[in-house]
Amino acid sequence: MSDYKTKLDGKELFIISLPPSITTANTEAINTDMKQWAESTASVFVLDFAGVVAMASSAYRSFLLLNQTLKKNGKTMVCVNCNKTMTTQFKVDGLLSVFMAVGSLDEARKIGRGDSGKPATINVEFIEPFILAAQSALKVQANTDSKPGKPHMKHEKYPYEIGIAGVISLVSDGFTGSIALCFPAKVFLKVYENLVGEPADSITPEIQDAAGELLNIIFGQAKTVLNDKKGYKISKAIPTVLVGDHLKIQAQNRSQTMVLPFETSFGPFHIEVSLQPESMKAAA
Amino acid sequence: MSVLKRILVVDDMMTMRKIVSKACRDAGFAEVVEAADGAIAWGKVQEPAEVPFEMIISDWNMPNATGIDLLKKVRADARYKHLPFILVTAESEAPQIAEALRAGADNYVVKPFSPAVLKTKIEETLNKKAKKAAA
Repeated sequence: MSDYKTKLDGKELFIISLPPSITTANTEAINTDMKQWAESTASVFVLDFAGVVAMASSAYRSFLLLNQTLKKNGKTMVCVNCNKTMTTQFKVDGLLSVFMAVGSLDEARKIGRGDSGKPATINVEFIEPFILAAQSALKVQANTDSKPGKPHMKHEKYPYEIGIAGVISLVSDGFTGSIALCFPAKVFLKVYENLVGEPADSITPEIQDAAGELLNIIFGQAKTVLNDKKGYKISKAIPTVLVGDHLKIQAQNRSQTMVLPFETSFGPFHIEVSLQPESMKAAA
Repeated sequence: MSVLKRILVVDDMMTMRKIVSKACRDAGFAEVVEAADGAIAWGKVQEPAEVPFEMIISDWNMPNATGIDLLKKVRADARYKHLPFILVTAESEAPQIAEALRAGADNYVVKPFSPAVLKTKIEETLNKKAKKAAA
């Protein structure tokens, strides 16, 4: 039995009003209806959560498949009227990028007019997800509070000491570049202690993969936001780790690099975001 | 929760194996076996043992064989097709989560996660299995 109602709002929006209690039983018909929906003129599908008080995690599957089918057809799924309980549930289950909340139907229409696979520029839209992801990764995974400083372009007078760095390539349809997560050795050792719950005196091969793992988490979170919400198409990548005294991160020739500094109670660390100049031109 | 005996933790990053293994011990598992990729894990799953694994927690992105490769092998084998399986991933994009569920993951954990979240996911997964068995 399906308890949801659908309606086409203009040519752009397809609104799905959901029942107060969402279960597999009352949403399974979505799986059979969605192919037909995807052929409609609408470019944005809006899940209306008004009045919804509970959603069983077993019902996620129908919506995940719907989201995937819509994406394949170049369409977008968003949510309106999500209450705090639902938003918290999606956050805990890592589904905020699937159940992407928008403030109004007008906002949903604007999303429908957006483009995709766009080139990157080093601006707030591009670097903010990395700042938020770094704070979240350090806080949640390593129980370490960090405060972001003022981002600035990298220059010759480079004040940062680096003992270990995780580096990951940025590859997208629109641009290439790299992200590096850089720690002074003593800061890394303290973060590692918080991460694993074991003290460490020096950076040994056994512990150095923690820098790669933290970067992997930061990259994964930022990539989700940039791809799902901002229209980029950044590919998966595996980090590498560099260790040594007074390391210097050298991005590819003529890349532009933004430094995102952070401060913790153990000392500073920073992220370097580099983009190839060809990417920047493409963005102009 | 009843007494938990044996779990397999799979991750190519030693740091993450330590974090997940500690959370599993805190959740009540008496023995935690570790593997560094999906291929090694598949070997361990098939090794004769007095106490079989009660659950697998595996990272997604690994060299040699990924978490999804391991999951597909486990689900394709009649001996293990009901073995609870949790995927851990730093990727929370919709197509990836859909792929995990399609391949038969019972649950998934998105990094970063706190030990409490992992413990809850383990309990949820075991409760689901108990309900299915009782039905």
